[in-house]
Amino acid sequence: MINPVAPPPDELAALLGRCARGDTEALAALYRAVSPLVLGSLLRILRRRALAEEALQDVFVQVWQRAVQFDEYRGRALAWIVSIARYRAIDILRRERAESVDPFVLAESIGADESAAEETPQLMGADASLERCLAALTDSQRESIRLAYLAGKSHQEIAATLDRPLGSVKSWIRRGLISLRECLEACSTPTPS
Amino acid sequence: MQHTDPELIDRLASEYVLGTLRGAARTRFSRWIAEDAAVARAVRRWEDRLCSLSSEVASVAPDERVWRAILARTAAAPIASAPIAAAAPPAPRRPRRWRAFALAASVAVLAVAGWLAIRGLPDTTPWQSAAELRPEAGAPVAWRIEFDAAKRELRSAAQHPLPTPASGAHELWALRAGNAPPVSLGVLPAAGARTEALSPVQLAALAAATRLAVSEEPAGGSPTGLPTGRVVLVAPLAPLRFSS
Repeated sequence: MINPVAPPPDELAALLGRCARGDTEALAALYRAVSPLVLGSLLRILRRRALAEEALQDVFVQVWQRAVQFDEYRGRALAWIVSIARYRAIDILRRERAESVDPFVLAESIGADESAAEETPQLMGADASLERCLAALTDSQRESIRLAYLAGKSHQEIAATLDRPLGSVKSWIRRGLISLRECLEACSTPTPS
Repeated sequence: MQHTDPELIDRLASEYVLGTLRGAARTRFSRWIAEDAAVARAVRRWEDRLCSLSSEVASVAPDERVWRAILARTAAAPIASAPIAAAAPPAPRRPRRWRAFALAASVAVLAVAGWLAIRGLPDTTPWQSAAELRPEAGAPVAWRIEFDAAKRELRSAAQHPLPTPASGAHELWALRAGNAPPVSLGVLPAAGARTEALSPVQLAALAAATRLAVSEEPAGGSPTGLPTGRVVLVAPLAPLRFSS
């Protein structure tokens, strides 16, 4: 597995600055750099490739439109983009779940797209401080937070997945987040390897 | 209310970023972020803290057509007129085409639309909706729009349609609140009826739509994905109700 060198974070910010001036070449470079990570995150939450790719479109249109808001992403371009993507995915989930449960879609979503995942350059290296902080949590806290962040699951869905009471899940998440707050540093910068 | 309590702000921010703050609370909190800089800062700190969790995600290369679609949409959708930080270089302001569109829409002749939520039997279609588009109140129905959530289809039927414009066709749009750009719901038939399958983006837009609009576009629909021609009709829309 070859890990090409990812662009440094200030390069992402510089690309966003050029987007703010209407430079579509910069948007293309940004897209090349971060779209595999963004699609991976969207797919983990939305499960369906078509839905995740539609969301990916929305995310980059938003990034383009909001790139002038320099104060929002200064020093944290990747965290900013990842957040836009996760909020978009959660919004789509909320709307999807408001709709009828369609057995066909359910069948399609079970285990779907995992095979479609192909390894592409990793933008984010594993973060030692994150691993250390997660290790300090209880198993229940860690699993609840991972299910919420990575899979976009609600309190209720986490309770169902883990087969534990809703109140316990809420309390694990609350306490887990407080522990992480003390421990976690800002989003790791991409590490060339 | 303890809304200025930093501990409460931090707790809500953490669950907002994590994604476990849901429903009306999430909607309210996102408004609060926009209004209160301290809240926005708390959210950013949590975005930074939790972002590292994404390093677990396996990257997936998107299909080539996704980039083409983004390029088409960004070429058509100019940069938002957002506040610019002092440190940021000034951005050229191109007119926001959909803003102009929304403005045109608001002064266009208002149509009367009835958006009917019909409760279905529990084991059949969960709900269906219909809207009647009229060029003005009391006028005959130009198009009747029916939405079938179960089949994810939109059916548009010409009843007393407006004359086909010189540009080529009429296109139907879902307008959402705020700055969200219109989403095309397809070209309206000049005669007869047309049924189209809706994409997830169209479904989401329709679910969030506050108004429907009709614009004059080239045959086959707007080439840019956003309205380009004159708005001939706007119909307010009650929020869709999802019956269970």
